[in-house]
Amino acid sequence: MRLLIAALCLLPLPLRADPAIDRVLDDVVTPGFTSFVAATDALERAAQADCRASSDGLRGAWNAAMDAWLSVADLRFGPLEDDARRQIIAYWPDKSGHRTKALARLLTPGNPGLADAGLFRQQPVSVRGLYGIEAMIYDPRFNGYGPDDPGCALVRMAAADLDETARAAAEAWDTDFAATLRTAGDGANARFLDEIEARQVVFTALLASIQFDINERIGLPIGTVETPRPLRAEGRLSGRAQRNLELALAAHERLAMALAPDDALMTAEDFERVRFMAGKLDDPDFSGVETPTGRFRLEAVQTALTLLRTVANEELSAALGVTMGLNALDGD
Amino acid sequence: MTSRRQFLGTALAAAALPRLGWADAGDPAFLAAAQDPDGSYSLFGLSASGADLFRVPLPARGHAATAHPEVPEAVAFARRPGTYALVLNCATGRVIARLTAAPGREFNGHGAYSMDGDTLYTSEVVALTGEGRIALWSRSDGYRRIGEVASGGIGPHEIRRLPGTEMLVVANGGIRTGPGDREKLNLDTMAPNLTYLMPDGTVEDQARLAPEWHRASIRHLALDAFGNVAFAMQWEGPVEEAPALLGFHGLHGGAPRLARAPDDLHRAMQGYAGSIAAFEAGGKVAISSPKGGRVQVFDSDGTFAHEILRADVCGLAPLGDRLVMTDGHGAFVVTEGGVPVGHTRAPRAWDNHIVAL
Repeated sequence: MRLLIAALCLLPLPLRADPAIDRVLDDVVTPGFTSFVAATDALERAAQADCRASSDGLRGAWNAAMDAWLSVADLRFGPLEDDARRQIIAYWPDKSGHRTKALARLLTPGNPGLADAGLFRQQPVSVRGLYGIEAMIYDPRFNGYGPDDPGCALVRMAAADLDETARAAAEAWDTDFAATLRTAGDGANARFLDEIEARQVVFTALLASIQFDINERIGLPIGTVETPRPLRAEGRLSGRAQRNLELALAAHERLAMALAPDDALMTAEDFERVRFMAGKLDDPDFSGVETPTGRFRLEAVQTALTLLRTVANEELSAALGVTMGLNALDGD
Repeated sequence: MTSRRQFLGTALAAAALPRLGWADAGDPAFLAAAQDPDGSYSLFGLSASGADLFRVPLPARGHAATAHPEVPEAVAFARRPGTYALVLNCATGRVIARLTAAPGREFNGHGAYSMDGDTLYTSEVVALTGEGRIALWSRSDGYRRIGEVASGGIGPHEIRRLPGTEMLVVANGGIRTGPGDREKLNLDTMAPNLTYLMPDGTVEDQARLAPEWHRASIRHLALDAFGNVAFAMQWEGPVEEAPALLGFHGLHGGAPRLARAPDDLHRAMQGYAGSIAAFEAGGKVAISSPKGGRVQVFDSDGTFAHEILRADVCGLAPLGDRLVMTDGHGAFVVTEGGVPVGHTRAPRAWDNHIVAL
């Protein structure tokens, strides 16, 4: 015992980078934000080139940006949570239907909110970001605008605003937050008091992201047996509910494997199974929840994902030396 | 009638055992309940620097505790709807007595002692109706339940005794739940209040919130040495409409004063304050939001001072001019002026409260 303590004292702990955190940064954060910023950049250029909803270039660029977002959306801490960036980029679910009303209000000729970037930023988050643009180019109530209509101005404004928000998040990671994670436990680091806290924040974000799929991505359209809610599916308008789920699962898996590549074997097996099941749904917009078979299949994915979450919680918390808290779930 | 054997036993025990004071308990400074990695629950006695001094297994999830004013004895309460409370010897961690909820009553997680320490008060509800009760338990009679009085509202949560008096202040949270569960049944009609009452049930004063804030459940209390009360609330309405989560009041003080952080920071609390502590001799009050992952500190005049970000933070306790916080990830953190100055970590999830002894 005494030898062990002596040995521990010899380790230059504060200087030793945490391999789990290094992998998260190198395998997920850096490539993820590089792609996301490139995609929002391309979307902005596509909107400038042709803002019409029928434009293949615009639709392709929007879909690529949505794909790229899903590869960083699990990072539920730091820059994406500061300055309401997550809400600005991806305001969903919109359970009270704010988006439709806010878009209708904003889409009036000469509205200053569409002419000035600063005023656009003061609009409700529901009209901004990826889902605001999705409504503009896929919702038949909005997508009939011509190049001189307010709709065109809105799409261009929203694309530029999204690009700026993505850049700000990427830059904050690059110049500040990556170092904050890497220096966890240094005396000057008040955000992460020790190495465990840096791991904890990533681990918690992963589990929260899986729970988000269980409750929202899958849970919302499933609704209840009596009342399925296919219209509530994420990506209903663009017909990419299944694709979003598949990409989200792939992102969860990448993050889990970055955290514990060798110690989460059952988690890895579960991911393979759930991704296989999700890939077989054959239900692009989850409208299948209204049929017994469609509903059964999506519920099966939900159940498998719930089991995966339990396994991931056990394996990863043991591998990382972290604990899942009780307080945020059900306080008193 | 006392039997000869009982009399002798008592007399011998009294003669043989020098009275233990709090200093003999290995100086535990705090009590806190936690969930262990295997899923079981325990109560821990902690030193001022956060080191474990003892651990007592709990039969079910714990909530808060209250310390005897003189001897190293404390009562740990089950989380509501609670069926048990354990009286501990804090020197050894040994369980001295087990309190069981009376038929048709449920413990609500908090309690307080009388000035002389001979009466324990527990916040309870009538299981069927949610009506609040303060039960009285006699320490000298082996913690026998000797009576109860109405708490002055529905769903009482924390109770405290005003320093230097026998007056109790009760946070009647206003939420009615079903017997044996936590489902909220009356969110449309809930009407929380802060009630000051004597142990005989006489209500001395009662403070309420404005009608439009009737869904702000008053649940937790912090007192300064003069008996000024700060209270923390949990909003049961739409989260974007959450009003202030912190209030101040004094006996016969009229309407409560409310305090909130600037808009963005207030919103980040997500309508939920889980614990409250007064520190710096009552000059500062902190409230925690585990849902928002932050602690917000206010001056006692209600001015927002600063916030401290910590995921799953909930437990708060004073340590002189410092503020101690515990979180669900096992950290015990001491802060001064909003900056961490020390911490310990244990493989366990600290539960809602840490109680200063």
